[in-house]
Amino acid sequence: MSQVIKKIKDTAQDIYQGILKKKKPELKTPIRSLNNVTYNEKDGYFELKGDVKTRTLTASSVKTFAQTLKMMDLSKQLVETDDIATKREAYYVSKNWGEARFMSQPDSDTVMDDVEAMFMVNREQLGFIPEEKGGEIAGKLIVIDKNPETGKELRIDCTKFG
Amino acid sequence: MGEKTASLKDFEKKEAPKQAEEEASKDDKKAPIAVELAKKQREIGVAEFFARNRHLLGFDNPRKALLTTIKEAVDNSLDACEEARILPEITIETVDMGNDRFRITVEDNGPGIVKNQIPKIFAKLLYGSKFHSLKQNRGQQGIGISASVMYAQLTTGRPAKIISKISPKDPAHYYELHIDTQKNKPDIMKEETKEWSKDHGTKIELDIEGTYQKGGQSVDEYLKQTAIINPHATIIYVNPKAEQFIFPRATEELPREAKEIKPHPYGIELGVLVKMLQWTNSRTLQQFLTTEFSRVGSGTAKTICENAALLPKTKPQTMSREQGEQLLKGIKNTKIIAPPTDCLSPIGEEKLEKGLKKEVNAEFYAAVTRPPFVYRGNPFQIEVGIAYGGNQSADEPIRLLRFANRVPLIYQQGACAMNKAVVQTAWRSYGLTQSQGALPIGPMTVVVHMASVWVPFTSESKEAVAHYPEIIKEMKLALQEAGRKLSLYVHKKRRVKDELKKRSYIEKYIPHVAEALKDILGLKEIDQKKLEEELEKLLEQTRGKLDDMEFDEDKNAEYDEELAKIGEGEDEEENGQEGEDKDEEEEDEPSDQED
Repeated sequence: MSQVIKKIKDTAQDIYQGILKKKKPELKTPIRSLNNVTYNEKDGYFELKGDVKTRTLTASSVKTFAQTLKMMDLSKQLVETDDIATKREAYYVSKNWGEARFMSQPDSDTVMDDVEAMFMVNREQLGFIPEEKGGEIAGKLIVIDKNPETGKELRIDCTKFG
Repeated sequence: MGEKTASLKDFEKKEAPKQAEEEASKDDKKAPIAVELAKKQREIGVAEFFARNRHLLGFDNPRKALLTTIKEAVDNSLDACEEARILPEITIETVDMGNDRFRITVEDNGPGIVKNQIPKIFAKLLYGSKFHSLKQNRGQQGIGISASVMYAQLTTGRPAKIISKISPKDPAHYYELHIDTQKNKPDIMKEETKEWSKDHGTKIELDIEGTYQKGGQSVDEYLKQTAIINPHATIIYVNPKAEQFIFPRATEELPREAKEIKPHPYGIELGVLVKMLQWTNSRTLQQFLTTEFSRVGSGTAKTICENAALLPKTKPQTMSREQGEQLLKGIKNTKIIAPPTDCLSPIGEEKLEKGLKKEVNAEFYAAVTRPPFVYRGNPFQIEVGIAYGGNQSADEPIRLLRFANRVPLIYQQGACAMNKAVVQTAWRSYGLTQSQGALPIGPMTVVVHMASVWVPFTSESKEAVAHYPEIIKEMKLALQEAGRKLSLYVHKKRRVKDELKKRSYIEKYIPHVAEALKDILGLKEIDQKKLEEELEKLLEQTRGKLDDMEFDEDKNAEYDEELAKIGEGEDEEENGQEGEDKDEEEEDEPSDQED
């Protein structure tokens, strides 16, 4: 079982058990604001500090709460079937969720970001992958990748795009 | 109005200039044009004047005439009963006699009228007890009922039939009266004593031309409002369609007796002052000031004389117009305490609210009685009542009920100070919508009552209160006070509504939470059901809080309902044919929006 699926299931399990024990369910996501980051000079990027935002199930948060769980479920399905979806596709999938559907894509994007941060994984690891749009990067960059089918090394020379 | 009546009397005094005519004919054979003109110039009787200008008295159209006639008779009956401290019981009957003619009978259990006075009271214009006294009365001028008699005479030619009895021992006197419009004198057609089973009281029967229509400006509505604002009166009314309405007395307690007061110096005008100086029995100016005015003691009187540069011992009768003016200036420069205000008899917050509850089935009621205030030396007091919500329409302008000295004002709303005060109040901050210069929109009824020893009406027909800044200011203060109470309720209601919306959210989204968990964890249907139940239980706490808030609303509605029902039934019956009253009211209704 992949790491992501385990994390999703664990979180869901916690909530489920909590409810059975008559505890108000909670979801914890790291706060992604400038106050909650430090610059890691050694590695050269920002790192999250430990502050966490707790979303307790209440009357006013029940909709987002349901949507977050739904989004986790969608991610689990994608990873399980080794499928992918774009942000836009995920938004359209939500249109099948009845009352819990998103009314606009920014809403769905935010929830997706929350799930990402909650599990400390990349969006790609959740099965949400940006659509390919061709060579849009040009400049002094060579990307070294692996062809997923043949396993052969790929060299993409971006200087040739410009 | 005082000035107006005075000027009318002056008008009468202008005699045809006979002398001028004679002199002119001596001098020249070819008379100047003025002589020719002089032949046409003659005295105009008050009655004649009002016969021509009957719109001034509220007889402009047949529908209004019917209302005005009944109104004048009912006002007099109520005034008489209250003055005699009798609980009023008034019976009004209207019979449709065809050809747009109606027979109106108004009978009361008042003190009755002394024989000699009957003809003058009913058949002489500007004759009455109320004009010269400053007292909170319905009637003010002594025009009303005699104008009705005159209107009857003009339209049907039938005399007014009056019967009155002052005590069980005395016989009842019966009169049939006309008005001599040229001389403004009663014309007695018939006079006799009759048997009348009543102990005391007065009954008047008039045949007039009119139109009967139901609706907001109908006799039915007028009498209903009268009953609401006069809870101590029993009113029995039979309309021309032979439907009987009984408005039973709601309290055995008569309103506080209104005391008569003397005029306050600040409210006096030069003409009246000069006249008072001439007619007084006082021998000195100082005595005159202390006896004829309220709030003037000998000290104040001396200060006035000093400020006016007049001797306190001056004989009032010998004072010239210039001295009168001096005196007036002296009064203005002297500090005098405000007139006494115990002469007013307001309805009271409790009774006003009770009356409103009877009439409107609303969720929220509030009433405000302002402390008395003074305009032009006349004390007055403003009361406001509001009824909000319930089964009132939310997207129409509010309903404004106007009362002056316990008399409903039905016509000319747009021209009335009460309307202006409501329009000028910022209702938006109290949770209603309102566009500039218009009545607010919302499910609300507003009652404004003005009690005063002299209500300044815009015309003799007493339909609208004049725009005195002091009066409008007091009205606005009262409305604002009521508005603040209202806004508490409106905002609370909004909060409850929001909470209810949130609660519906919970119910809406709980199944989705459970479903998502089921899908992720691969739970069974039964587990999902259990999960939903548990979640609902978990959120029960929040819901408990909501129930509390909702309960408030229920409590309010329950509290009002019983009282509200009484008025509701009447209302429906009386406003049932609203479509009908459109034709004639078109002149009046647009004026509601003006101003």
